[in-house]
Amino acid sequence: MFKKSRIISVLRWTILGGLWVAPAAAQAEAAPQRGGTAIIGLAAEPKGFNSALTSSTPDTVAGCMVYEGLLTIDTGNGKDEISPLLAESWDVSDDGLTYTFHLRNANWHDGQPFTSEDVRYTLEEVAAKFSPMFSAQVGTNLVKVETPDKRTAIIQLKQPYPTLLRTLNCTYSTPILPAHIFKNTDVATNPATTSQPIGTGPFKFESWQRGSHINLVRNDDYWEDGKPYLDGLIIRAIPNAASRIQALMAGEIDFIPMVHFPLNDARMVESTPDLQIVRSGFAPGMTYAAFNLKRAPFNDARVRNALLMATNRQFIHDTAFSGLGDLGRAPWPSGIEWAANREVNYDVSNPYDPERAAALLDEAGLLAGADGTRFSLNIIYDSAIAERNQVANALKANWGAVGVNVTLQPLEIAVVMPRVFKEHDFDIYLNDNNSYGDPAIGVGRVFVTESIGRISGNAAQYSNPEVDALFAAGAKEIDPDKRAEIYQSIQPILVRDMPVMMLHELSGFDGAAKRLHGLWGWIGNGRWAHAWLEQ
Amino acid sequence: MWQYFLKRVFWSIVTIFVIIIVNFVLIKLVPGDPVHAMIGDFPAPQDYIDQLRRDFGLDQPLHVQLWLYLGNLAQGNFGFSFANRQPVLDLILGRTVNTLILILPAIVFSAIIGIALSLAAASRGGGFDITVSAITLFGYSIPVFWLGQVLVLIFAIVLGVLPTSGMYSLRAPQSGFGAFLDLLRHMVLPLACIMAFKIAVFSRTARASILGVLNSDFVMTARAKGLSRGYTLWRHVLPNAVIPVIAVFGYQFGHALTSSLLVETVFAWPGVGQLFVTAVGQRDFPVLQGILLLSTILVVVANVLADLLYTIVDPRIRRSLGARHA
Repeated sequence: MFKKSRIISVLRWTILGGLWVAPAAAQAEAAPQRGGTAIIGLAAEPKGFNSALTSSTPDTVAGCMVYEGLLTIDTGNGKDEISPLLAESWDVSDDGLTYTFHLRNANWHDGQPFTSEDVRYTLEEVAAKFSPMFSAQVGTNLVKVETPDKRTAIIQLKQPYPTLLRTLNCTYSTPILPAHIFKNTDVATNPATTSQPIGTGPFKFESWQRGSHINLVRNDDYWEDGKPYLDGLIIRAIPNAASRIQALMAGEIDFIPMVHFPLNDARMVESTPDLQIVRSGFAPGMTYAAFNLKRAPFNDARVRNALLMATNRQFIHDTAFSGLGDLGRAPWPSGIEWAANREVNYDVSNPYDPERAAALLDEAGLLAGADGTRFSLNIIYDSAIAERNQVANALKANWGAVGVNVTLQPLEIAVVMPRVFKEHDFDIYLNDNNSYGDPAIGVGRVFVTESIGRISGNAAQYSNPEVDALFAAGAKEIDPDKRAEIYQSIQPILVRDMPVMMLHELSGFDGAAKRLHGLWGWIGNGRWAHAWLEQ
Repeated sequence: MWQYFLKRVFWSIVTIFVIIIVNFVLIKLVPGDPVHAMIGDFPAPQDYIDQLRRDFGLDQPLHVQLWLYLGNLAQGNFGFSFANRQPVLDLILGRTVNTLILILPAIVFSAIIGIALSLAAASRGGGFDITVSAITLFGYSIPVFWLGQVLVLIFAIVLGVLPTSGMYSLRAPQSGFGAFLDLLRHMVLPLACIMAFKIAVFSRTARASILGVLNSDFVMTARAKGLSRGYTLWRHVLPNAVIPVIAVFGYQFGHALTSSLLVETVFAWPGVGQLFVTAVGQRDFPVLQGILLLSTILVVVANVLADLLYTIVDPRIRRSLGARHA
């Protein structure tokens, strides 16, 4: 009864901090097996299945098993390629204003055929109005979606938007919805949003035990021959992070996706014989600290630069993130390689150097008092994310060493969002930011004036017309080389002005059972049709 | 006596009404915006945010929201959950069953074990009494959250004999008697966590009460008459000592929500406690109001029933009430 491997795992748990275990081996390339039901563990239950209405992860995970986008992003084996899904192929006009999609022959789960009208309805009447991402990125730029026949949909734009293809996937808030179910109804309360989704995806909705789990079953009529391999999927909510990891270790669940996988437990999971860490390959993100530029002394660039130099990013990387990902070195992730300016590097401009940091604070007139304190600040952040707590504590220790008295304010996300983005009542805001693989989608919102006052927008209230103009130009430039040049020219400005400092770079890691194979791309981007369980 | 109970019922209704209003105002005063918790991490269009506010009545002034809420309550409508997109009453009742599956046996078994332990300890005294006191004190002091994790670590991860969380095995669903056994297996660890605390509460209350009764004159008289120790304990001590335990029993029902909050979170038990914790994070006001209202009703009703039980068990109270209202 006593399992040696489990005892070892528990011992490792208790002495976690000092352990380093070699990265998981690559997934076996064995022949896929059919059958079995995989169980996914999430931190929260979905609110519904319609990712056009929210970018909340549980809704996206559950929804994008049932619904599908026109396209997906294949990030397997280090790739980052736009891949076909409901659109078999596409053409882009030379002026970048017309996108023609040739649609797949597929059926909705209720047997109705999927047609171009579904695409038109979804993009024009739902995504352009409600989708957090599509409406912000494309919204008013969308002229219309033409449907010359049932298998062709043509998107007409006012201005070129070279990132359009990247936004047309389910995970990025653009699932294709069944027009025959949604048309002339309230999208938010339609049962196909809230409780009984009818999609084209590899899995069909079967039942929902509220508070516990959702049952999805194999779609035998799926358009991709022989897929999915799994008979079904169960999506379970386990709110407590430690309990979630314990369920994975006990074999009760097979997979915890990034965001819901507590990275500070990553090494323990990796050291458990039956488990592995899978690199999500999701678009690189960053953990950053935004300064409230409207408050002294953070309105002084010397103070911001000093605080970056007082921050031991290597320590944060090694502890809070278990050594996974990379140190933050630039205003946005270096993982978006084409847009990265290699000359921008915090290790050169702002290396960890408490003495230089202290000197810079002296220069800014913030001299240490009799008790060694120069000034006080608060750091506000979402308390639900374990690694963010650790980052905040590291900053408190690092900045305390140079005489900055730090108060931590871990709060619920529902409190943090309005306080930071609407009321601007904070000194430092610690957050994660998803780039969505392109500066035009996920990065610009952190820096442009237009995003001030918008949730998940520009927390620092940074406003620089030059930066605004460059981000706007980059978003519509269709020549890839020129686009790269534009974005690369923004980075030195952001390092000079330092409205936010990037602490850590991460592209997402999932915790998974080793018997689960065939995953590629991110949750919901299609890979679950290819997932299979070793029986 | 009936007059006394009618009066108790009247004031109970007034209490519930006042608490409804206080709960409503307090919940609305909590900082945080449910709409922001709903839309995720990407800036949503303002039109959509405004529409959500209108849909859920969040654009109305506080007094209008309160008036609408009271009007709906009067018609038995507890509201609509923002996050779950379900009627609140259906949502809560569904989860309450799961919580009761855990809480009812926990309270009943804790009361039986607690009273038995305290009876044995108080009558035997000495080392046994000290041991029981030490163990129950430990159970009373230990944080449920920590105890839960340690139990899971030992019994689920190391020994592999019990599940870590949930109500049923999802991997191999059972039916009929198999499902019942599966449920029992899932109940063991959460029950142990709740009972560690509740046994201590019952046992300590009963012990103090039993010791007090044991020193009474009538007990000495009974023993002097030659009645056996066991008979005296069972026939004379227990009925007199159990009265404060009844009060605790009523209180523990009212305490059910508090007990379930942590345990259901640790064990991912889909009950009303877990729903409450989630609703707090999502600022799902209607759900919070609904749970607090039902919890209030439970506490008030449990207290009225405890009072009623007092009069049945203790003839002195019955007589004094009869005299007062004669």
